[in-house]
Amino acid sequence: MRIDETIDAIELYYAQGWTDGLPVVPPTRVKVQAMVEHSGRAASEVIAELPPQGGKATVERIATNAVMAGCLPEYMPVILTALEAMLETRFNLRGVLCSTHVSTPLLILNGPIVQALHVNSGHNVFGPGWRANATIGRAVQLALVNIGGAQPGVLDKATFGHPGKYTYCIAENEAASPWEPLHVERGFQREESTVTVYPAEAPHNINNHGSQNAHDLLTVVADCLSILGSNHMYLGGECFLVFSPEHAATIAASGWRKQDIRAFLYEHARQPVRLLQVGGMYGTETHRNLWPRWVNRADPEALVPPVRRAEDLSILVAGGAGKHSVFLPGWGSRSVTRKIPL
Amino acid sequence: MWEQFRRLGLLLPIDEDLARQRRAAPALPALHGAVAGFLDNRKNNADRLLARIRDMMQAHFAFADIVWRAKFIYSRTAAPEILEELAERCRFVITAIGD
Repeated sequence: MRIDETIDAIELYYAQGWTDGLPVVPPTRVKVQAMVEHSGRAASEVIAELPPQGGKATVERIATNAVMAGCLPEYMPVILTALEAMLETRFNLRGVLCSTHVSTPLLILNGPIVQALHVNSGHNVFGPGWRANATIGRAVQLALVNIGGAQPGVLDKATFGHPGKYTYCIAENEAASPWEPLHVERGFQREESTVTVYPAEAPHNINNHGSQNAHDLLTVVADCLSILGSNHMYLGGECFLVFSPEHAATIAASGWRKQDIRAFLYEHARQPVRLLQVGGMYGTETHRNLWPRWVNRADPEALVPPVRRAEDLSILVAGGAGKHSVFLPGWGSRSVTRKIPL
Repeated sequence: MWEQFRRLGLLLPIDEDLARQRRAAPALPALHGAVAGFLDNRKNNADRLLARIRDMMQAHFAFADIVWRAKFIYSRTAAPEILEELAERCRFVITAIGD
C-alpha cells in the first residue's frame, strides 16, 4: 500500500466511526494474521460477546482492533486475557460502559511480562511515551466500542468520560515495592504474569511532601479516600491506591505492611451519616443497605467507611520519584485478576 | 456494504452481522388502542418520569392495556422473562433513566 493509499485508508475508518478520534493503523490481512498467530488461538474463536450490544469478539476482530491501535503481535495474549476478565459478573462491564459515570477499564500488569513487553511502571506510568501502555489499552478500548457497541454519545452516555478512554494500561513497579505485589497477594506466583482489570476513574493525585511517617502520610490519604463525590461512600465496591516508591518507602520505614495500611484507612477514611445524606449518590442505592451492617443509620454522627471491608482497598506501587500517590476511585464493581497464558 | 475495504485488503473491526441488524425499528402507524409497555430501570425518579409520560399518553391514545415492569437494578439488563413478556404483549415499550 502506498503512502497516499494509507492516508485514504485511515480516512475510511474515520468515515465509519471506527476510531477513537485519533488516526488508526489500517488493518491489512497480513498484519492481522500476525496478531492472530501470536495469540495462539484460532481466528474464529469467540472470546466474548461484548456488551452492551453483544457483538461477537472473535480473535480476528480483536486482532483487527489491535492492529488499528498500533499494537505489536506479542501484545495479543494480554489483550485477550483482559477482555475475558472483564466479562466476569463481578466486574459488570455492561454497567461500567453504559453509565453516566466517568470510569473505564484500567489494565494493571504484573510479572515477567512487564519487562518482556517493555510496559512502563515508573515515571509517567499513567501518561504517554511507551508503546505497550499506549496501544494495549487502546486496543481494548477500540474493541469495546467497535465490537461491543459502546459508542461514545450513543450507548456510552458518560457525562464527562476521561482520557483513560483513549488508553488506560499500567504495570506495577514491583522492583520499587517494599511489599508483595498485587498478583502475589491475589494468589499467583511472582513469576506468573497477570492482568488485573478495574473500572477506574482518572487518577486523583495525593500530594504529600510533608509527612515523615506512615501515620501522618496515611492521614492525608484517608482524607482523599473519603470524598463525598465518589461512588464508594454510598455503593461500596472496591477501590485502588497506587503509592509512589517514595511514599511506599516512608510507610514501610514505619514498619507498616499492606494490612496495616488497610486497617488504618478503614478506620480513618470515614464520613458521618448526616453529610452523606446531603447528596452524592445517597438515595435508593444506599437504602438497599450497601453500607456495612454495623453502621447505625439512625445516628447522624455515625461514621461510614468507603468500602464494606478493609480487604476491598487494593494497593500497589507504581510511578517514579516524587512524593505523590494516587487514589483510583471506581464505579462500584470489582476488579478481576487473570493469569496471562504465554 | 463494506466492499471498498475488501478491495483494499483491509479487515473490519466490527461484528458485521450485528452492524447489519442494528437499525431503528420502523415507526408505528398508530398508537390508539395499543398495549403500551413501560420499563422502569430503578434509577431515582425513573418511575415518576415514566408515570407522567404514561398518564399523558393514556389520556391521548386510550391504550387497551398498560404493562408496567421494573428492572432489579439499573446497571444490569432486565430479566429475560420481563423482556419476553414485554415483547409478547406490548405494541411498544418506553424505558428511561432518571436521576
